[in-house]
Amino acid sequence: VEQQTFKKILQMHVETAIPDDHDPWPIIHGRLMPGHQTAAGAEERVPLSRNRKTVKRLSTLALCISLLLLVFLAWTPTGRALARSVIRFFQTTDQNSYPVPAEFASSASQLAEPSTPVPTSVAAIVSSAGEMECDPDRGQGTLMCEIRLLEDQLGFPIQVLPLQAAELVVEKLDPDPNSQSLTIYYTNPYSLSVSLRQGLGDFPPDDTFDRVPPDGVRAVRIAGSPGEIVRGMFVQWAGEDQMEWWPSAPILRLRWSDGQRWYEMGRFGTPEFSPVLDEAELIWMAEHLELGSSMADSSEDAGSPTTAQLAESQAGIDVKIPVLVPDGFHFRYAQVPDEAGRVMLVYSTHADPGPRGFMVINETREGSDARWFGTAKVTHVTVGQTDASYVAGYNRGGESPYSPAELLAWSADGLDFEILHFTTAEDGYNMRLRPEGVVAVAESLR
Amino acid sequence: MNETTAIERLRDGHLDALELLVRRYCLRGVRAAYLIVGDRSLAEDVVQTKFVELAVKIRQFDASREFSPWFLRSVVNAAINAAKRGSRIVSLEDVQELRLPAMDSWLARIEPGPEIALENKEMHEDVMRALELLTPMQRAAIICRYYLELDAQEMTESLDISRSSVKWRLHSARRRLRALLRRYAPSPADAGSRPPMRSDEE
Repeated sequence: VEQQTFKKILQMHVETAIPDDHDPWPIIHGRLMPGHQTAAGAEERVPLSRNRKTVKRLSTLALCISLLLLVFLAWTPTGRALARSVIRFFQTTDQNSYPVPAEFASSASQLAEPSTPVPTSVAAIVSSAGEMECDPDRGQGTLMCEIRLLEDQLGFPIQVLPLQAAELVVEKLDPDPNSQSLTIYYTNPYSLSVSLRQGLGDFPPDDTFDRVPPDGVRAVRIAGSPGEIVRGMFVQWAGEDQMEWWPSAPILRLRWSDGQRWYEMGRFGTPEFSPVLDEAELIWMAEHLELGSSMADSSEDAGSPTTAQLAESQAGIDVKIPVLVPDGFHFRYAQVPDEAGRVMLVYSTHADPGPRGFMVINETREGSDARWFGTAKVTHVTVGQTDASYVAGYNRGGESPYSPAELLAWSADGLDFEILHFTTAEDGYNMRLRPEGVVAVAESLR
Repeated sequence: MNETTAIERLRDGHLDALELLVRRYCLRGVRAAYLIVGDRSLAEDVVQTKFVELAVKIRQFDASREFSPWFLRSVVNAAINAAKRGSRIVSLEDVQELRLPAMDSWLARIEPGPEIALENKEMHEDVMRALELLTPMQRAAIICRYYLELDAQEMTESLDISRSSVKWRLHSARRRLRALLRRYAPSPADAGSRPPMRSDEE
């Protein structure tokens, strides 16, 4: 539908529904009148009606009771035990921080020298995306084919997210034969990752890193079924030996059960996009799951890989490409989210989008925004003569296919730039570039 | 009496000053709220409540700010909350029920006869139905952009979200609308001659 036609339809629709002669003043005046007679100040002049007074008193009473209950739940051992028993789907911990477990501390102690960026050339590399044949013997093929194979293996019909609603593209299907569960990882052109995990029966037990402080869990309803939502995660900031609860982390986890099957949705992204796909939208998606076997195969839809040159022409940005990238990484594709004035150059160590990643983002924005980092510990560095912000942190929990590790953001020549470097938990610190490595990549942009 | 004077008089306790603000902004506010909540009574209640709150809390209003964007922002946010509270679970299967006549032929005829008028009516209904199928935030983004005609910066302020989020919400809303109304899209041959509903002005 053309823009003008669309505007005209909206206009006609509201003008018919709410005609020009609509006059609400008598009603508004009436609502204000009772207090207008006696009071002197504006607030006193507009007293509440008797019913509203009652409602207000009841609300105040309810608030007081809620506060008392919160105090009871938070500060008394009995209360904490009660709160834990009420939380059904997440496992809780009383600790907001704890030492990094030995198995990970040992990997940290073997801190290797940071990877050395090596010269690369991406300009001539073209998309490696291609269609795969459905080959049941090899267990891979089109998305539809893989879903059907997994349904046979897992013994239940697989539910998927409504892709159209949030421009999601299936990135990876990750079955877990031990828990008879499946995790589907999605991504969208805004570097947002969403996961949907599902299985029969009860939730599998959480490991230490998946647990949450009780006050981080909130009860919700998913299409009438009980659910819980958590924002935040445990992180280990670079240089620290403690895992620390980060309540403002750009991560949301939603768990619910329909009585037969349990589900967990996770939303992970760079802090910049924290407001995107908020709690309400996450719940909306959870309430609109679709059967995977009836889903159109949209794996080649949004965010199709392109060459860097094509991305440049599509985005209208003079895209800058690094001459240096971390050792072992290869340019995979460029993404151009519609209308975002943003180009993402995505590198990985494998042909498929793997758990390690490296991304250079060029974007037309209005100056770099340190708020993205939330409560993260920011190191100020310089890229050439330009101030830049560097953040390093390690996510040991959650179900993200990536563990956010390092991020560098700066502005130059009217563009904002970001470099994100992800590694896996298994890599420990070995793949870390440190500020000097990321800055070297940044300064090699041409 | 101008807007600034009206606000000053309202601060001094003269309730009649509110009438000017109501008469100037209520209709636009109710119409915007109606497009977001989809219910006239609810939209009227949202806007009336905002005016009552304005009268009660006028001392909290920063007089150095422009009234219109501030008021529309509060109306849009109240409408989003009202729509979320009263949101109906709309089955995605409903999408299949949209009637989808060819838009090209409709646009080609200048003076529609009774049949064309019926097609127009159906397209009108389908567009509004597609709008209903968006999430409240997506709907609000579309209404701010195409009905209130706010630019990206104004939308950032109105919806109280970052510029990137505004772009994302608009993008996802447009994309979904395009998918829901895809059969109205111009044919490939016409694609170059008419602007589709997309990024445009930003």
